[in-house]
Amino acid sequence: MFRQVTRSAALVILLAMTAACASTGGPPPPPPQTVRSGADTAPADLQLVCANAVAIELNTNPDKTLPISSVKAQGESYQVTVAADQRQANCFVTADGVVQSIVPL
Amino acid sequence: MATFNLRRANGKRFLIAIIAAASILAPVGAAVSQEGQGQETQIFDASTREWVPYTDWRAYEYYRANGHVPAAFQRQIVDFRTTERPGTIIIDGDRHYLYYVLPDLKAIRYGIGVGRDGFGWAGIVNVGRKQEWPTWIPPKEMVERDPEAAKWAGGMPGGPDNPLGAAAMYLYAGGKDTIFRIHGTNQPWTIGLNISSGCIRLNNEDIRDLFSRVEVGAKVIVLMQGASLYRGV
Repeated sequence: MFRQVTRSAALVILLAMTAACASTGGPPPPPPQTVRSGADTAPADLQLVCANAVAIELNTNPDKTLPISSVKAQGESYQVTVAADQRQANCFVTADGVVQSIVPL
Repeated sequence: MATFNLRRANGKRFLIAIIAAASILAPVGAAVSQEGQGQETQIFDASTREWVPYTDWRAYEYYRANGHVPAAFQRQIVDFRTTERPGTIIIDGDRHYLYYVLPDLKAIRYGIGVGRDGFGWAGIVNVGRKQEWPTWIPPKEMVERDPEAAKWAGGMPGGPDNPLGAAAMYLYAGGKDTIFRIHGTNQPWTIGLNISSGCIRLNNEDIRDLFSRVEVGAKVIVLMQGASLYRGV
């Protein structure tokens, strides 16, 4: 009788250990950054890459060419709207800083 | 991770501080449309494992518990791909960062506080002048409603209690003062928030560091999604 109880207890412990090993290991780790912007605007350097490209494309004064809005586009690219003097253009730039296209508005 | 339980005593002091902070340069902001504002910052709450708004209260509690702002808002050197000259200042009001451009596609990134709802602006300006421990002159409206501010109607001398902090850089457009400044603060927990009346604030250690690097005349590019006031463009 005692041997049966001991064997059952050992089995329960073994199952518990197995279950623990088979679990997912608890909640996922926290993200590397603990704060973030609530908006998906393009990083500042990418916005300026677009401003520079638009100034060249539209032949406008770079000191009067300013990104005014941006949004995440397909994949890791961004659409940046740039105001240049009295004109505007949409610029599509990858996360690596490569300008894909410029579309005057 | 900070706890977010606010104690009453601290809350009252905090509320007074927030009201004072929000009142700085109120007339400046009055000229701005009610549409422009920075994007809201979010913080990861480890207890619920969710992203939650980084409100004034949470920012205050985080700072009180940790003695500093979140790591993302602390001064650091980052990669920065730009053709702008070293010495240029780039302000990303949406993400609450100020970049000081270095050579070799690098920049120093500082955490900032920006204009609250309706007080955001964008543009291309320059540093017209610099001042350590600047005098703060409360706006007329604040003097009229706040006896504490009325004491300083003639100007509050620079010092640790001065809301402009350890230094200020005065932003000019077309040779004229925009009335916007990059300045320090006596409320370091406000970094990462939309809280000012259009000025850009850094903690005092950071404004000292930036002040020592920036030259009068430096170009300043201010990016702000949805800004309805533009200066210098």
